[in-house]
Amino acid sequence: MNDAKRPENAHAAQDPSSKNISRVLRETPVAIAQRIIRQNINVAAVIVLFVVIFTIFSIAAPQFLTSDNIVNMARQMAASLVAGVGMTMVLAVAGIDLSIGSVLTLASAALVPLMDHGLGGTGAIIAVLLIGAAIGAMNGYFTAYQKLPAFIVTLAGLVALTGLANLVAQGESYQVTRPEWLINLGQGSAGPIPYQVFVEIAAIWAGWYTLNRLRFGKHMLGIGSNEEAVRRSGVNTRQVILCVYLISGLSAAAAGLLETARIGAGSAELVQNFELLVIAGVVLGGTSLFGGRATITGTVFGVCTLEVIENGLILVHVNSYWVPIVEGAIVLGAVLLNSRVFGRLKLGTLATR
Amino acid sequence: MSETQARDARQNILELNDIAKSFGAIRSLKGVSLEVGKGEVIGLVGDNGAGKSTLTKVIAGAVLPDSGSTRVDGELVDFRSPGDARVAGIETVYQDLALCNDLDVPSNLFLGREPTRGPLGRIDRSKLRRETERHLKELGVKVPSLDEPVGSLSGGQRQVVAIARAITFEPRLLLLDEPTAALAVREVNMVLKLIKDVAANGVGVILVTHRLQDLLLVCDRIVVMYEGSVRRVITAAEATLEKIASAITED
Repeated sequence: MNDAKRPENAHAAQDPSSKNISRVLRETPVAIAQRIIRQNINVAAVIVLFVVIFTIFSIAAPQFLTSDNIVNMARQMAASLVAGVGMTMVLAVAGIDLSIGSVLTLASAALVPLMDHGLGGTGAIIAVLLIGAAIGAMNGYFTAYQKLPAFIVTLAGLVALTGLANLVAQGESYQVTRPEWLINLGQGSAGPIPYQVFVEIAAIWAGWYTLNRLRFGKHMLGIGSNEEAVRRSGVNTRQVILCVYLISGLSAAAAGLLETARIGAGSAELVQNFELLVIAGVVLGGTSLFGGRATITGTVFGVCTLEVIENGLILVHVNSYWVPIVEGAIVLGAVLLNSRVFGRLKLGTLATR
Repeated sequence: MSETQARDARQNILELNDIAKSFGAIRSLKGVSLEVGKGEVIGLVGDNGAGKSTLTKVIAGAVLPDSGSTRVDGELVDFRSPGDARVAGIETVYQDLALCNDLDVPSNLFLGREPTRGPLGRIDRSKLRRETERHLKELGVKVPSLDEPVGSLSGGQRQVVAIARAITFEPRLLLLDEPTAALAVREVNMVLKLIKDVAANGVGVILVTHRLQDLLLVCDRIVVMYEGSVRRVITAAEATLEKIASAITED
């Protein structure tokens, strides 16, 4: 639109209602703070939940707040956090990826055999990451281009890849002793800070930046909100969706390497229900299962909360069979709270505007 | 007569000539001709099944006519897809609005065309915001906050955002499908004012609506369709509610 052809709208000056434009566009700092809290009430909620649970265990279990235990938790969370970043993006586009647990075990089981077949340590790691990305791309292809439901596509992946991981491992658990840097990553630390923490921070930052700053991330959220609208805007939505599943597969393979490095063994039975716990952590963090709303900050606290619950319950000597029961109950309660109470609060404050 | 001459003196943005379209045995359009001038607002009305929906889709490039010709700015065009119509300068705002309710106003206005920096496509957020503010100011459009998700806005505000978004494509012709359906009275006025402002800037507007009272407020001409043809064209000067209503329903 040519500026010269568009003088200040005569209407705008006369209509009293449009005099507010400049006022409304410049919010006061207090209004901005209120809006940010209101828009992120789900994240605020999970942070409060995390602090409460953390405090309870700090009091209830003397060993909980020791540096050894904190380091231990930081190490154990690495796989869930890295995969959680990928899952947050998948949920952002209103998808789901049930295959990440079996991608993780496949990565772990395939690592040593690939090394033994002449790829070398670093070569095998690259190969494992490429396999993860390729599986993700396949999930994305069937979901975005063949329009099959992501639930079914990735469920098929879960089943088939678990089989493949078992086939590769042949029921064995391989000791992983090389490459040295991988073992060091899993078990070493820089001063008091375990190396995993740096990987976690890098993954969180990359996820946050992609989702909140890049056009790619904006299109993910748009697709989760109204795919047709984004497509009509000329965005290649299928390509975006394929890339999101590719990232998810890649991050699941990376999670497999982190877990393998931490334990020092490659196995097809490294984790159980991994995909479900990651989804639970992400949703607990306030990311919508229906797409369009996704928060990496929430994911971090959601995953941390589940980790603290698991660790804390073991430390207070609760029968370990109770751990998943408590986790399930807390996830259900938190999501109920998010959708019923905070969801209404969010809409309610705006309806009066 | 003078009305007609005044119109012909201006350049026609859109000229439809003898457009026909059948779906199987049903003849939806039986040779429809229609012109829209620069800055003119045309009301398109008719009972259900009169063919206005098919005609709108032909103009938007979503339906290919069986015969007849279309000219945009005097140039003969042949739309094969909605993309072709958009390239020719025709923007359509459908009733579903095609907004992303979870995204804020700037993201919706410039969806797919966000100003970016660097190789990764980092959104230039201050530029996006400036462009949005400038654009909304030019249109005289008011929204409560640019940072709220569009889904939290009222129906009228969402409609206004959808129209403002269409205007960012700098169309020659704007096609609006029932923009005032299900809106509160105050919001209807907001949308109608925007339509007038858009037309005042030289954009041709086709307004498809069931709300006949809106037609009297913004339209230069009202085209009444009946069973696949244009039955009557009523100019603003001679239009009354009764006249329009009887043109739609009379046998």
